[in-house]
Amino acid sequence: MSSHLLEIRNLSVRFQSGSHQLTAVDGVDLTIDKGETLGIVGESGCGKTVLATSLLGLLPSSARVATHRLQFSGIDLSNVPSGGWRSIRGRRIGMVFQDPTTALNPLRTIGSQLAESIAIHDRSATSREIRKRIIDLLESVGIAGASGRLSDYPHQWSGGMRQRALIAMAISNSPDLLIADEPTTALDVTIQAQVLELLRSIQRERELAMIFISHSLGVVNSIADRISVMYAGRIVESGPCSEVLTTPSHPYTRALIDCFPEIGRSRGSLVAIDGQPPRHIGKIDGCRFRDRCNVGRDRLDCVSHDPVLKRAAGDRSVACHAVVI
Amino acid sequence: MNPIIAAGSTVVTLQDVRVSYRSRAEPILRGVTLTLSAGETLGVVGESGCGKTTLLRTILGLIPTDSGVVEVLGGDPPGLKDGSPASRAAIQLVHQDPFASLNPRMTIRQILQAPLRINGYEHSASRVRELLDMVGLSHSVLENLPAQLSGGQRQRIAIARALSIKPKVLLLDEPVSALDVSVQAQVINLINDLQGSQGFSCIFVSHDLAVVAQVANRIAVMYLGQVVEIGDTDSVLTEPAHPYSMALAASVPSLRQEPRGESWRGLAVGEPPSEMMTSGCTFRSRCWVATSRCDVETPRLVERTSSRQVACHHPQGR
Amino acid sequence: MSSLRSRIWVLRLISSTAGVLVWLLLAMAAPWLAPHDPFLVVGEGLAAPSWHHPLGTDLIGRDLFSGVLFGARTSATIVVGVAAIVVVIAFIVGLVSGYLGGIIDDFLMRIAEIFQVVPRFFLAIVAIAYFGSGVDRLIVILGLTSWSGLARVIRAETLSVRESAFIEAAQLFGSGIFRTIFREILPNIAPTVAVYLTLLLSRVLLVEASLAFIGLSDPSSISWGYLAGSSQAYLRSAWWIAVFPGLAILMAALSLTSLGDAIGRRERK
Repeated sequence: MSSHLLEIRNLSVRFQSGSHQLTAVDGVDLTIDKGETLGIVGESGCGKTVLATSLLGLLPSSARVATHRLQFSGIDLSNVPSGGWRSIRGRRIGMVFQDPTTALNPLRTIGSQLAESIAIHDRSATSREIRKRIIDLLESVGIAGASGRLSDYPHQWSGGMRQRALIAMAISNSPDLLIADEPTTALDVTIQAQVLELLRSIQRERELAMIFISHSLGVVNSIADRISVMYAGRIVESGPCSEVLTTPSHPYTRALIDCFPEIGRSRGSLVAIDGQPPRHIGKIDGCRFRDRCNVGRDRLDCVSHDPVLKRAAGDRSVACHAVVI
Repeated sequence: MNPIIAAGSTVVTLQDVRVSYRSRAEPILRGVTLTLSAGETLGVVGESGCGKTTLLRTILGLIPTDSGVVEVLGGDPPGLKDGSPASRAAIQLVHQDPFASLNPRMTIRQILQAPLRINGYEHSASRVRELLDMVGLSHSVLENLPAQLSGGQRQRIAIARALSIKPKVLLLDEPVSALDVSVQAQVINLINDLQGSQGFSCIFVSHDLAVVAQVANRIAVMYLGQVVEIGDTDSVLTEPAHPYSMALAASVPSLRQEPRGESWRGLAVGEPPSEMMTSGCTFRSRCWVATSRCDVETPRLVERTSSRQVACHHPQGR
Repeated sequence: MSSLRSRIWVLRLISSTAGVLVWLLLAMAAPWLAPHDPFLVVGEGLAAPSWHHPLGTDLIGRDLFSGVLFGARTSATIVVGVAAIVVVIAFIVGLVSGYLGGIIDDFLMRIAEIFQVVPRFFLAIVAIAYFGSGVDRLIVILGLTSWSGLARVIRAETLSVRESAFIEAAQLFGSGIFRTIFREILPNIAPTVAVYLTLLLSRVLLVEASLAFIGLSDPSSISWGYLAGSSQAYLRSAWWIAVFPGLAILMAALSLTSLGDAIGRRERK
């Protein structure tokens, strides 16, 4: 029995398309404990969204999941019986996705959608109880005058308010884990700051564990305790957020930091990474980052062996041949 | 049109420009005043609804103004139908979406040859290869269709196409917003390098203040159709005077280590107003230093130092 | 697309294209391939398919095989002729309407509506009654009554492509109206238009066959519909007179629709 809230060992997700097989996630190890925020950072195609959806049982039927361990609070997520996900999704694990416009049904009122997410998991609640809970929830996520707004439709609310409503839905049944996949990417910067602040305070109050997925190092830095950097379906570096970002070990992490635009960085100081993030993960010998890496491009072991995530000092892990542990 | 532009001269001028769409009563641009000097990069920053894309389209002459003056290279904005081909070629645009700005049924070679041929430039295969070299792309993409290229590669093609006819002014509408971070840096560096070697003047529009900080000599901050602050990049970003500039700068996610849990200084409260404001400052509903004067009197851009203008009744800082 | 569906798609594309090509080739080669003049009496009436007459003979002893071959020629002529008229008118109207918009668009679409509203089959009957039943007349009538649907499709496609960023970019670097329409827009709308066109031509084929069935075809040329129509009284005794021309109509129409479908699927994938 694991002491972690969520423990993932060697998770792989592949998609079967006719005779082709595409690998989206290739051997990921992750843990998260109660009350902590794990940030997962990666560019497009790295597999972070597939990872999130595999934790929620939302993968399409063409997906093949293989894992040594996928344990959430004593439940084996790799082996959930049909119908079993209903008691997990929305109840034990909440989710907030990127686009509030598509996550909310435009034809139903906000109030009815929130009510449904509560009623599904709590059949004994009366409609008056539900209404009170909804109002409390909406006010706790910063929507003033919630009692008068329950019959609004999603299009009447701004992007920021819709995202707050989604967060309210996600926490409505007091889950233990919240999975947020790019929840602020579609929002304006000043609204994003507010929503991040909201997520932080909710997490503190409810001692939620949160997996926060983003392509932006800066956003993850503002909210995560620990960070995992993903590249081509693998975690390449993991550790406490501030440590990883001040003293990165993996060349990709270092390169991401060097190319991150920042107020105060002088013009022309961005160091770009050659090439582009891989769209598919093919069968390559050696490290996947090799042809973009200024350290490992010609190193023998980088060319021939795929590095494995290894523990280093403190709480850090790196998957790189060039790092001395 | 004067083909020779003296350094320091003004290439684009907007004077109190107001624009509204025919179908809506609410103005998109409410009196925008700014200038672009020869050889400089002006960054225009703002969130959704601030009018930054409309600004570019007004400069191009694609949208008529309700009032105010728009001057491009000493004349009227070129527009699509009026104006000579030469004046149209002198100002070019790089669109936001690299997936939509290239004809999906034309090869890269055809895409790059078209503007050259139409404008009477040499359009041989070797000239096209020179263009690819200019933006750092391999010649092997010549016979590819856009769908076979990545977003970063497509954006480079769009830049090459725009620069192929040697415009004096290049407008860039969120050119890196759709790209991965590692690719963003490539394109940002490319734009900086090209500006150095080709010498065009540039307006770079983005919602991302940090990106704009990497390319712009001067920055204009826009909010709901107005320029609220404009000045040298470094001074605007390190000592913002307008409360919105402060909020914007403070909201930008950063890699600096700050103790989390501390709420950020000057966080703009709430959201942009949903009802139209007829008078006063548009930012007042979210501003922490707003007074009753801000309800009534619309602030105008006023010079604070020789290199800074602010439109605020209570500018912050020194 | 999974590889099984991909293989089915390729088969479909090949077979439908082959069907259309075979039809056209037979049509062109009919005068040389046909063993007899289809109007000549060359055998006993109502003779079953045999070595001399592979598809049998009709009531008065004309060879059905020759009849079917020449019928292919007639239907191909009509379909190609109508295609030519329809393509020219629909493209001009659709592209101009979609690209320019405004009053011109309104005007052209009102005209298209007039033509669309007319019931094609009955107008054809009336026109034949008035002007006679020549193949050339039929081509004109069917062409004039069929272009408006295609014009609407072209217009709709043009409208959606016109708003694209790459069209604006072309206009910004100086692309004139003609170049923008023909070099930038047209290649992007061609596949959808091709699909609609094949369906349209398939329907034209069936209208022609129906008119011929009720005896309104050009008497100087053999038509599949006419052959099938003339067999009505003998369906049980001389099934071949109905079945072979009927099969020919079926194969030709199916090839066209299948081809259109295959092109459409390629675009969707």
